[in-house]
Amino acid sequence: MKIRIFLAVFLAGVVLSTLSARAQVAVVAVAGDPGHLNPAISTAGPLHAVADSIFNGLVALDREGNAQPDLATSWTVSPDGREVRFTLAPGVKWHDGKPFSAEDVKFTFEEVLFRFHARTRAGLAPAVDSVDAPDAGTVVFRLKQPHPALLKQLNVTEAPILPRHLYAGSDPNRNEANARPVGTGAFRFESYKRDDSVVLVRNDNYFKPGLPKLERLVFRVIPEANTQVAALANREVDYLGRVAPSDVARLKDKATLVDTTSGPGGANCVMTLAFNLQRPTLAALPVRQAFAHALNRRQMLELVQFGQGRVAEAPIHSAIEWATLPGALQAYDLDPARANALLDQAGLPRGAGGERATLDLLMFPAFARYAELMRQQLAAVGIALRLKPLDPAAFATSVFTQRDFDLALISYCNGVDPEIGVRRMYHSTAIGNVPFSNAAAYRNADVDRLFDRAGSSTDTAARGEAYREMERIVARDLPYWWLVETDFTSAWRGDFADFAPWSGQFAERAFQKR
Amino acid sequence: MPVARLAWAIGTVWLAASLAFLLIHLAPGGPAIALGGDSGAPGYLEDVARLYGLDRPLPEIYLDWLARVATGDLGHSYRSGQSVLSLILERLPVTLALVAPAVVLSAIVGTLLGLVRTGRGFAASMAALHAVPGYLVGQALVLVFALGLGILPVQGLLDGRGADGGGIARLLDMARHLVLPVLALTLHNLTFVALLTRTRVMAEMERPYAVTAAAKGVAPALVRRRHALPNAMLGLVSLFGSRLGGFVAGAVTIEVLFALPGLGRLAVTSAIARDHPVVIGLVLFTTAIVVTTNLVVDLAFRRLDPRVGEAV
Repeated sequence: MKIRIFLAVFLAGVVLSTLSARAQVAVVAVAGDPGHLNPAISTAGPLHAVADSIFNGLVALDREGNAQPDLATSWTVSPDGREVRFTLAPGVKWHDGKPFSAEDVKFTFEEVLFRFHARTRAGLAPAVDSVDAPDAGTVVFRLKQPHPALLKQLNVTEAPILPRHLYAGSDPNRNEANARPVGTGAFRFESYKRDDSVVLVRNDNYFKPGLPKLERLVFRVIPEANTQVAALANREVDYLGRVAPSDVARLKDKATLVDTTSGPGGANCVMTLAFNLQRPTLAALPVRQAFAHALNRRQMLELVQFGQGRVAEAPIHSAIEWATLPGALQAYDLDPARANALLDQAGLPRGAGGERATLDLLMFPAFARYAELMRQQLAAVGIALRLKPLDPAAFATSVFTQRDFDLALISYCNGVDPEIGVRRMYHSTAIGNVPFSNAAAYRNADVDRLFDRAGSSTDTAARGEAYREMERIVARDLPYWWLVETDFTSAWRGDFADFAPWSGQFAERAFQKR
Repeated sequence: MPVARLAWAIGTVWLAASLAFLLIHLAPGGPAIALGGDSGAPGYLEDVARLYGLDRPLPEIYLDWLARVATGDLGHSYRSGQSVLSLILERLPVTLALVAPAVVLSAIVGTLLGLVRTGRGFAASMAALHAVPGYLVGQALVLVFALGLGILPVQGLLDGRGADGGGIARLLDMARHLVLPVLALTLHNLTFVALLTRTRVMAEMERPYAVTAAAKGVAPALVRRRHALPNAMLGLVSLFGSRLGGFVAGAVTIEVLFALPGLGRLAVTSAIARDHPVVIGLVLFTTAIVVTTNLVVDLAFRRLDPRVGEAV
């Protein structure tokens, strides 16, 4: 008898302990400390990697970059394309229990996003006349002209919605809620230890039934890529948002799932070499053409990206299928002999040591392998590179404020629509003291006109044609040389499923398999 | 005399902090990229500069800063808005938990090794080991103990899945997480101590008193331990003291490698983010500590060894 009771208690104990051991917790590694957790006043990657799970946008973007319901359940566009009306999900509550309404949306756009979110301020604010809230469940965007990219600029990464009751009448940069965020999202904020961890817990009142499934989402700040991979292998971490290309092969062997996407929020990044057109040497077209013939991009893809991406075939990322122009760069085959001839023709003869010119290449330290390879490849045609790795703050100042550089290596992320990330590279109004804008200082009135036309038409076919025409021109003018489309690779342990690495809300549906 | 020493100490701290102020303000780039992200909007950089008063002339910013520091206010972080002092005090325990055991371990084990092993091969291997950067030592430890044997964690101070329990369990978890980082920091430094002890003790062994002891028939090991070591100790202690800064510097790379939220990580993150108040505050804080310890050690030495007082 006693033995039976003992056995029953023992079994119950075992069952209970396995149940509690199986609590749905996912530990996520992020490379940088988020600093604060207000995603509406910053586009910084480490911040959004964490904070996007706490908030919602009006829409979410699926893997293909198409708009799906988030805070808005449906939307209609007026026939002239200048009025977009959103119906909001009913019964949504902020994490502090206050009801969410259209006023929150209006406030966030007008007072926060259009002033402090750099991409939304630059890419959306100029097109919007007003954001109105006719009733608690409806938001109306009135546009100065049709703005076809609108829906793709309203996800949580581009336009997270903040609680008006906590931010109204305050400086959003110094609001205390930035450190203790209150959102509508799948996860509630629990704690933040700087340079260490952020802990989020399940929002039991989430407005999407049955979601989220994870009980806790723990972000660990792990700056070293090697340590991140070791932590995943050691089962200390379950999810790596971004894996270095060189680590992908070694992770694929383990009990790990690896997923390759174009990046969170449809980043669509292209590793790009920017020529400073204000430098006489580089203002000469034959010199830039010589670079295009001398650089071996396939080698970059293989040796630096370990195959995680594609050689760029057009100025616009190939994932934006309706706008990209495949084969636009076909004329520039790998041909060092031709590069040499072009440099001779440009009046840059080889000197005594075989060198034609010495140029400064500025880049983030993370891109050093690209730079090293470029130095080798260009040395073969007599161009010597001085590599200058700079941290982001110094890089932005040198390139965009002081314009003190010859060449700059920049990962330009195109976004899901060329309006988001392509226009800034070429439009003459984007030259100046703006980080990661028109680094080349390229000016072409035709290109400006084509961007303006594509940006204000609702007809996708016509927009695509304008962008392709633009690509034909810039492929000829070569203000940049487009190297490699770089894929983002995420990895997670095999006992987890349904992560969405292409989205800021990557863990909304994720769960641990029983 | 003490007044002059104190003035000297304060002057040193002021100079170091002012240099840090100049360096970080003159470094290209401001806090905008870290705060706002790397996509820009027209006017954004100017807005951020205005927000933190960085659009003013440098002398004005400096005087403003000096006036505040004089009242003990180190300012607030641009990134988090938190007061710099609280930020530093929050991180200090982590760095201490890493550095203190490493200091004690390398002092004790290093001295013992240097005392016992006097062969040339040993010296050469210690020197070789010392040449390996702490960073690589850490990577090797991770490979063996974490990935190979699977017995120790490779990052952080606490288990990410663990509930926020308190008490003994939490302390044990922390200790487990600190094993590899402390080892990495210790291995690098204990080689230095071992070499130093060996050299010093061997030098003492040539002195007449040691030769005499040996001639009397005292066993060599005993001569080293009982006679040479105490005499070598004074020099060792002061040299080891001057090495303490090296421990803290080494802690920076170890904290980054093992993702520990200590002062070193704070310094690195803040420097990259151009979080000026935090960087300057850290320099001021560490200089103040070093200067104070030096002051205390000086005074202690005066008590220990009367000759020091005469020399000053």
